[in-house]
Amino acid sequence: MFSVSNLHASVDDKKILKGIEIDVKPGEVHAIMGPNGSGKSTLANLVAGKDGYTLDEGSIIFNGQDISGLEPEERACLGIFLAFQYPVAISGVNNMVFLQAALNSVRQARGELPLDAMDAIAFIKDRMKLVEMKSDLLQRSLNAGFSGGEKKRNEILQMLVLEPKLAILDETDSGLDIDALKTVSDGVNHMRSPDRSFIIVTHYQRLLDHIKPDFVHVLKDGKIIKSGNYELALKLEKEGYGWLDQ
Amino acid sequence: MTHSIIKQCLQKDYAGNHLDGLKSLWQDVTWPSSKQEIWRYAKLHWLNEPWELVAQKETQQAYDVYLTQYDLLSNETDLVSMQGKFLPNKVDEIACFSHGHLDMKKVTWSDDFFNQLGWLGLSDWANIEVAEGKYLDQQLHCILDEEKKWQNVKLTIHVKKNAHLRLRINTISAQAVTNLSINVQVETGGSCQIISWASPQSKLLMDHNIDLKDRAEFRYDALNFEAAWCHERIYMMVGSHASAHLAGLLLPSSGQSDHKAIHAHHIAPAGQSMQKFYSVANGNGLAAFHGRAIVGHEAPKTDARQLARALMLSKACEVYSRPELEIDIDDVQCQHGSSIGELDTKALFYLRSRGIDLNQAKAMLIEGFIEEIVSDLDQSVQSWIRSRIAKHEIGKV
Repeated sequence: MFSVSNLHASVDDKKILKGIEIDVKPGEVHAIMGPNGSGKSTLANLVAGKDGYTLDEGSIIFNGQDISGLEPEERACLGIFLAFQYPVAISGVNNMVFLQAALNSVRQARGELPLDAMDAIAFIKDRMKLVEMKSDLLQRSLNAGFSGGEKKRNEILQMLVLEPKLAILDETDSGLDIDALKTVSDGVNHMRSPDRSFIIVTHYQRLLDHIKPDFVHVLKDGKIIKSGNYELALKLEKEGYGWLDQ
Repeated sequence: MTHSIIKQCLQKDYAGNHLDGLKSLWQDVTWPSSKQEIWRYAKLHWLNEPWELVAQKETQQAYDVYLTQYDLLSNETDLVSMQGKFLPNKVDEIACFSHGHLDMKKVTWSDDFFNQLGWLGLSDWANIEVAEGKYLDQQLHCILDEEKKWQNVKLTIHVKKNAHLRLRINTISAQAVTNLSINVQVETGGSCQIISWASPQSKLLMDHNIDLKDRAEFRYDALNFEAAWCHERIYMMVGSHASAHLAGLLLPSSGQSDHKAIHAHHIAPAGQSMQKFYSVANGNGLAAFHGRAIVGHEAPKTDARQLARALMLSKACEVYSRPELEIDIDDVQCQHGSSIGELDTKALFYLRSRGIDLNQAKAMLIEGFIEEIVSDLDQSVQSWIRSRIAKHEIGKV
């Protein structure tokens, strides 16, 4: 479904990723862990198509198509979703209006009819129950004045609404209390299916207690230096990253 | 007064070194250049076309056409100034209303021709007086057809003790210059709310004098963003415990300019004033905000605030922002803020990463920026203003 091979990327002429190889098959959950500055968020932003991230070498293949030249919205319409580490607050843009616009853009790309306002509200409110999100947040400006937990729930709500084929969660667990972490994880687990894949970027094993990964990769200095299963995450939590250098 | 604002707009320190650009905006205006020409101009355009010859029925039809064009309803109209003459459509018994032509003979030549134009001659005028303790909700349309060059409208508004007025002024003048002067006096405990809108490609000279007595409330929303050019000056005196809220949208795109010059003078204790103006400029559009709040030594406990924010959507557009505070006393709360920038690239990426295309994402961010002003407007005009903003297409390249 998704693969990167020999991926080299830079930001402001500084090389960040130095030859990454990942192959994600349908239905799989891959966790990417690693110390600060190792390139985890760069990888996530590069796949989503953010400006300022330069692909120096290699390819990003999604469902057999090289997406490295596509605009962010084209990637999203193909079914790639990035849950942001720091969701942007946009004052004046109504959350519901935004969700409906995003939903209908993606539906049209999938060849489905757009939903009118009433149907869209019903659909979105149904998904909100899964992340236990307060309904009044729909009528507020997008992420403006939201708490850290509310922002992360809103990210997962967007994922539930857009139903992507590949979801990349960039440190979604940061800033969440224990209950919120479970709620967000439940939302992700609800989405798991044989034809949907996840890449979970995280510092901590605690998120992976709720969302069991099939593979765990350790990213350091722009390279994947170790891959394994859930046991690897447990070992990292216990022993840190130091033993990998030995 | 009008003359002074033109001069102010042309001053180098106000509009930078863009004098030529500003002058070019005025090329299509026929300005009298001598005393003889002024009289000839006046005679041709005002005296030789007596309004009595225009049938009331035709006038009604004409303004119905204009109003329909801009989604305005004639049955909501209270006053009409059609081609320079007031026609009372519905006179509420609560209001004391008078109207008519000012005497041409009062006009005498001086260097300050435009001042006299607005205050003494060549004007049609109306007085609106709201009786003590009463409430009046009026809608005024100032319409000028394409054959006219000028429309001079003078409104004198007197809101008496504990009375309330809500006035909506729509200026419709596609090819003509409208010179609108409003004098407002709000007595103790009274309130006055004015919403001003102008039709696309209007040309506006506006000059307002506001006098707020003790505990008076005043709100003015300047929404003349569709005008080809608008030069607006507001001079306001804020009395004891009075409050004033001045807000507006400046959305100039190619060929458009919008200037606001505001002077809020606090002359008594515990007054409040807010100046909140948002601009979005595109093409070679020009937006200029020059707001001043003066807090005299006789005005302790004053709360004066100014906020000017602007988005620049193109390299050729120009935005000038000058919020100024002049404070002569310590015991006050005053704030002023100004920001000018481009669309937030992080926000753009966020929207696009959800499948929303670049143009729609830009439009959403612009609408979101503007919404901070629109959502604060009187509920009755919000959706209509949103539709006008959508038609204005400020984000369109």
